[in-house]
Amino acid sequence: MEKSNHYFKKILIVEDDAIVKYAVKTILEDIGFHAELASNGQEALIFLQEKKFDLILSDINMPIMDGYELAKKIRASNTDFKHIPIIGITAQIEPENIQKAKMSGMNEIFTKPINITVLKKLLHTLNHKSELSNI
Amino acid sequence: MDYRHFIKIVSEHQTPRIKPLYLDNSCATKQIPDDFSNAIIDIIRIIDQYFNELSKGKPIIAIFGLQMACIAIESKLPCARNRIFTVENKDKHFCCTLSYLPTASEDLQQIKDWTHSENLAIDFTSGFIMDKEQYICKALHLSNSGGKTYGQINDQKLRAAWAQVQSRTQH
Repeated sequence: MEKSNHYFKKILIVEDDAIVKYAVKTILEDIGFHAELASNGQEALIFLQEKKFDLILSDINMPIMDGYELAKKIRASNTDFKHIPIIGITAQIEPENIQKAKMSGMNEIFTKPINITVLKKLLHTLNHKSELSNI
Repeated sequence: MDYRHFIKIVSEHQTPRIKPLYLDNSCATKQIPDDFSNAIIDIIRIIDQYFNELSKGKPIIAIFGLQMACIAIESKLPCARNRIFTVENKDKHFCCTLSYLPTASEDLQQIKDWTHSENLAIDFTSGFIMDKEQYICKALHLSNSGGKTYGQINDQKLRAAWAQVQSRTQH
């Protein structure tokens, strides 16, 4: 993956677990993305209103506002970020939870532990789609 | 491991300053085999040893979560010690994050928000208990060896837990 060739560059990581937050941020920055951190869904909504992001990587289980609610609120909103791609990251492997995450508006779900190669490929694919849709 | 079971184990081994905190929906414990329950007492013992550092000046550490880490450390150790958790990638260690909340609250029942929680990384393959800096360095193969290892889970307990895991996966 080319480090400087991303169409979307700014990713919002929404996660309450400090280890996950900093690990994912390190990976993304290593491959050339700019990443910012929010600790729950409510904080993420504030960030989204203040700054422009190209993609959200969100945990499911979080305090105050969880990942399901965050995705639902984004999709139901009348904002510039209504259609932002949302990738869920969860340790809940049960099919009903994966289904619930998709129903809430998430585009893709990653179960922990994350396969870094697969994550990079997905980011590359989404990047490519964004590029095409803007031609 | 069922979440209630995890909290029960913490409760059974709690100390006057390390307590269980039941926060349903705060984490997903299901991927963790019950076989590792016997290691929790060691984790609590190590947290107690480093209480002043880990509690951030608060009188109580409330443990509320344990779940698979987002990224696993990889090495030849799982094959060498027959501690393979991910069959698709036998180099992956079985790593989890333990979540806790340093708190001044004597009434833990009132706590519903874990925004300011802290984490420790637990590597159930090597037994090492680390802070986030050390864990990230190891998991992402970063050259700077920052962070700290707090201790190690008793290897006999781990051997017994892994024997159970392997016997189940082979049948």
